[in-house]
Amino acid sequence: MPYYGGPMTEAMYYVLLALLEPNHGYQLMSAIEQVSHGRLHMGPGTLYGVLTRMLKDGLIIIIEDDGRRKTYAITEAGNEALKEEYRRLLAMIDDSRLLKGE
Amino acid sequence: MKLNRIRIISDSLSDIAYNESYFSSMAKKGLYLKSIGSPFAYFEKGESINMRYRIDVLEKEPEEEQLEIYRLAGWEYVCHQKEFYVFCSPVTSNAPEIHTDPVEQAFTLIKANKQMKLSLFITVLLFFVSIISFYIYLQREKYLVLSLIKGELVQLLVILIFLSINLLDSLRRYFSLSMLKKNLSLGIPLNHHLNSRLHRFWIVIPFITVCAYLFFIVTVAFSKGYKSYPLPQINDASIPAVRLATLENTSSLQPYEKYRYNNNTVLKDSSFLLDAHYVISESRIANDRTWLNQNSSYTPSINTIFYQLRFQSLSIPLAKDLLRNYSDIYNYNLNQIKEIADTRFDILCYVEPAGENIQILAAALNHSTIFIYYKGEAKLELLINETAELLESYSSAD
Repeated sequence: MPYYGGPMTEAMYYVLLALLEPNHGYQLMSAIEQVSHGRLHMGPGTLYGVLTRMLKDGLIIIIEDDGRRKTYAITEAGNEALKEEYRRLLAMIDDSRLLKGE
Repeated sequence: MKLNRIRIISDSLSDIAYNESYFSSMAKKGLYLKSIGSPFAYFEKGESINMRYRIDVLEKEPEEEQLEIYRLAGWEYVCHQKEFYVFCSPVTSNAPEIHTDPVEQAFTLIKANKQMKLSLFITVLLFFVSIISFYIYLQREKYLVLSLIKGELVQLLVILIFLSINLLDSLRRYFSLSMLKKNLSLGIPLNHHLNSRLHRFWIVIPFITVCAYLFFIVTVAFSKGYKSYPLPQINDASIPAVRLATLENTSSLQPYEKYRYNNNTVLKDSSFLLDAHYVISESRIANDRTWLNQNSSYTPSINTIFYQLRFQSLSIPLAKDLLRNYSDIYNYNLNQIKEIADTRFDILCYVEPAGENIQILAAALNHSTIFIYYKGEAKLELLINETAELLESYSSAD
């Protein structure tokens, strides 16, 4: 299902976030752990599922493929989508002030 | 190494959770999945081990880098069936799950689900086409034993049963995958610990598929080609027909080729239910004799259809069906068919009156059934006697 905007899955969000620095396969898994401060351990199936889908949707591209490994990077569209999602999450957090009784 | 390999009929991998549990339960018995085809899965014998199996749906063949990442995460690639890839990891290695996000996992099932929908549609279509063909066939073929002997009924029935079961299986697989996709997209993770015992019932599907293929192989193996050759002029014991020479009171019979389809020929074939099937036609002319009520030369003819059946129980109903079936061709009513009690036969029926100078009968003895259409001036009694003798000779050869 192509991405037409709207809420992202957690996996999508963190892969895009981790790909602000171009990266490849296994390192990407570690990068996601780092970016999420160890909160998210992404399984290889989920990672490759997200990569395949976002490649199709044009949110990421392969910038290098030496036949042995591929290096992925975020695209302009991916960057926009990530920022849009960030704004949505911020708005959500902002709306959640009610929880603190502010 | 080969001795350590066993193959077991296996279900399609599309029922992900059940297959994961099944492969784990096999590993506990010391049988490790090695490869999977259709309908067999191959296992290798070894030590009993607690192994986790996961089936991942990949749109295209994974490259080495992807498999390496799975490996580094603790998952070894085992084998695949179409887009369903099997990975395993010993429980003790405590590897993280291949899929950690159910919603993302749901996305991986979209393509497989669409393909399954298409295959379900084709199966439904084929099923209805076969139902309609079967209905039309039953309307056309009123005599089921004869249809059975011809082989068409059996083949249609086998195809129908095969398609019905496949339809059931396609429905089951489609709804199971759709349900899984729906649950995953709602965030409900896949249950990797389903009891696979009940599910093993579904291996009946590949089993029936194998049986259907075997059935066709057997029917083809039993079917011998259609052979056609000229009818020998003298009595030949290998030809199961009452010959005109034994019926006619004249010695000057010569081959007579008056009719296009009645050319003194023997047609022979065999099939799954028939050891032998003969269609024999004989036409003669006696230049020294005329028909009693006409001035034209005497031209007797006899058509014989002879069946040597593999199953004796079919011989009597076949004789009855033959007489009923040919009523349209030879122009008589079903109420003209009479049965005569004669100890030389298991059944003897004839048509009375069949027409001027025409005798039609059908008879059975043990594995043999015969249908005779005779046009000539010999008496029915003589024809019956000759038929009894012929069937007796074939019956003693049983």
